Amino acid sequence: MKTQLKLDSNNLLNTLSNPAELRRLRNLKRAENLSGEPLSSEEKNLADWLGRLKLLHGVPFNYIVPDVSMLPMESIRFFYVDSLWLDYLTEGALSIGRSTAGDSVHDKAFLGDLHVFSRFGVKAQRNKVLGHLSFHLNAAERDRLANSASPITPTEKITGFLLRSGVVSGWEGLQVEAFLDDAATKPCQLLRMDHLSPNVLLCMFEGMVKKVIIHEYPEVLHFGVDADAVGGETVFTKSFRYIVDHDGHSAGEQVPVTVAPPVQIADFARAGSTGVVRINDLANAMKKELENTIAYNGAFTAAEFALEMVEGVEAVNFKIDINQ
Amino acid sequence: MTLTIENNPAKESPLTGNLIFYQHMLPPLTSSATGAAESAAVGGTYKLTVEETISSKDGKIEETTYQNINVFGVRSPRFSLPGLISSVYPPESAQGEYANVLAHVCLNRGTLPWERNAVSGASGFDAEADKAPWLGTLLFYETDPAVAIKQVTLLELTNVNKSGTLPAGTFFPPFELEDGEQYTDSCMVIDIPVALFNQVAPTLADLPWLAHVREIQPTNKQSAKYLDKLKTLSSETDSPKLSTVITNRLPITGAQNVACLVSFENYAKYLPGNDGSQSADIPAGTETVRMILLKQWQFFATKQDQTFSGYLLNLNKKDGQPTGTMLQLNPDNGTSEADKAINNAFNMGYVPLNHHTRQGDNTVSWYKGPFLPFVSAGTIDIPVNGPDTCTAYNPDTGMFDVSFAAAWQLGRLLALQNGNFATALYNWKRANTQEAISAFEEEMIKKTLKEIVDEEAEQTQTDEARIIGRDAAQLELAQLMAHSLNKILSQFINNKDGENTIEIR
Repeated sequence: MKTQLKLDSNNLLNTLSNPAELRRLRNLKRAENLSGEPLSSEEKNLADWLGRLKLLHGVPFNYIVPDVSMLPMESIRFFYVDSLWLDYLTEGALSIGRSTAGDSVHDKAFLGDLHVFSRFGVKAQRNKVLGHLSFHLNAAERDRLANSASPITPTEKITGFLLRSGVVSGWEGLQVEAFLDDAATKPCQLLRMDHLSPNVLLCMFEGMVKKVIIHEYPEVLHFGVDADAVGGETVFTKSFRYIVDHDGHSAGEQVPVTVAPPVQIADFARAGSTGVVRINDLANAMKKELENTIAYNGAFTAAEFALEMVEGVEAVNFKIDINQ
Repeated sequence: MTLTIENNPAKESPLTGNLIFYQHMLPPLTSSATGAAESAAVGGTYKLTVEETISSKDGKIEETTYQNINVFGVRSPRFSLPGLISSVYPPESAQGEYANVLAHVCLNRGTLPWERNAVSGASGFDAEADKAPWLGTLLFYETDPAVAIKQVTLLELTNVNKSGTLPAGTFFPPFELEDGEQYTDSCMVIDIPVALFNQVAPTLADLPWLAHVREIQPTNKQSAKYLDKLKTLSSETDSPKLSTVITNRLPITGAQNVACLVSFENYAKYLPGNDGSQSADIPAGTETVRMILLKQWQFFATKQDQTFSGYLLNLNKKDGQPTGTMLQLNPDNGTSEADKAINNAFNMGYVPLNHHTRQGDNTVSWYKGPFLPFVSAGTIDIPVNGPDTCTAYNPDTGMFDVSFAAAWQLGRLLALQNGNFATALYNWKRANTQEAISAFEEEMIKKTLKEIVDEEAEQTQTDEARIIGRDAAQLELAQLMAHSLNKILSQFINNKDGENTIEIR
């Protein structure tokens, strides 16, 4: 028996110039991937790079802020990210290696996949920045970070702000929290937070930010005393804090002045010098006072002394009203 | 769009950020002769001895002891702290309301302040006084008697050994060189008049209160730069720990303050009394006291606003006037048509920029970046074939909008710049096409095969024996096909242009 198998190359050329047919054929042997998630390690690398690109890593500052007067010294400027601009940026990156008509058909059929990958990549960046620190996050933050496995939706807005100020260079680890509502109950997922220069900070969030709170951070918590003006003179005092939960107050809270009157720092000045505090005497006096007023009998070491002496965490709120 | 900036009415408790204070973190091994007596190091050198004794019950193997001795050294920084200073507070050269603040230095290692001892020759950290850290922060006012900061060699710290060149009238406590140290090594020192030293230096009893450890719970609210630092200070199981060394003196207002991180190693005996009286151990005739200087910075305590909240509350203001909220050029209040058009463009985030066209003309075109002052929407058709397809022209103004063209071009350049990405993208694209072609060929072969078999089946419908034969033939054919499939495909791919006729027997 003799049979002839005829393969017609015209048939193939027709297929190669039809994006829908090309896509159908490629997907024949692949498992269905409804979410469009990057699966192979190569696809994950592509998603990662595109995610970074969409968060403007590597984009020169002049492209982001084309005129320096848009971001003067000591200013915070909010913005909405133009998704079209990001799409064109991504398209430019995906255009390399497109030289023949066949490449063009391929791109028409498959570039959409890469745009979907990029949305996964955008969400994954903070996870990468945190690295092993994510093991130490509190439960709420860890949960929120776990959600970042889902891609940013095409209609989801990215918003954010640029902060150019001495506070950026002086307080390198400042903490930024953003919320979708004025009451600060619905936190936004942070996508990128980076120093673009020593005094310019870029923050990008998923969703429409309504409120931003900028906090001090543990490293800059400093020993400080309260300055009260009494009769034109500045008098330094220090009020107490609860060391352990006590009487309905939690540790770290201020002890009401009526319960434990503040210490007068002047009582602990060293004779013959200005500004020097007799720390050992002050610490022992504080220990005694805490015993007498709130019946604290536990250990009083440098750690408890530190808790008493540090000033509270300062925070500044930024409320954004959209009335246009 | 309005922005309200306000201070948090109440300061939060320092523990809200899940900060844990520790009295100290004593290093398990130290470089000096401290630590428990049985494990004490001599000159920072430790000996690790491993012994194993082997014998057999029936006595065939005699009792033999094998021994392995390892000697290792532990060193900790002494005359400088390279890369170990995390931050200082108040920030360097800051001007603000710092009159009520005790300056501090944060160090990148939890154990650092206890890696040496202020008490010379102390063994173990058992006694409370032994917990005195060897690091301290001193604060000097601009109005104090002048201190001198200079670079010297270790030889200039001693007048006992060999040809020490410590100047007469200057005091530095006796010390021994440790492994790897030489008298020619240099370090920074600060020479303090002895009267000033007695006024500002902490007492030995003060020292343990002036250092502690902070264990910081990381949070997803900080910049990548800061988190990178925390990453180097922690592991998957240990959260970051920093040590803090605080001064005992409040700053002066209206003048420069100089804060100095100094070494108190061996200084315990020479620290002043609680009333500022000079220690009896400081030799008579001493005019200045020399201390190792590890870090020095200045700040200014004034009524100015360069504090954390001061900076933030005064954002977006110039001479008391608001300067805007959104990232855009500020429109003026012109009323002509041209002004309106320009203001409108500014409100859409546009910036006019000089544009050198392909033909060599110079013109002005609009550009807007990725960050806009309003919410935008839209989708694009992919693929975008080039920057010219996304350049917009406004016939009314005669101006181009090159924003998207610039974005496209930049994306292309960035992709080309990154070789890994460019290669990965190329491979991904090629794999798609190859998979499609191979699927196409398989489909074609299956289709042809089906036609052949169906034809044969028609002929043999009635003859049962031949049906069995047909099945066998079909199987044989399929095996043959599978065997030669690779060959066929490669031939086909290599010779796309002509028609391929392949004979199968």
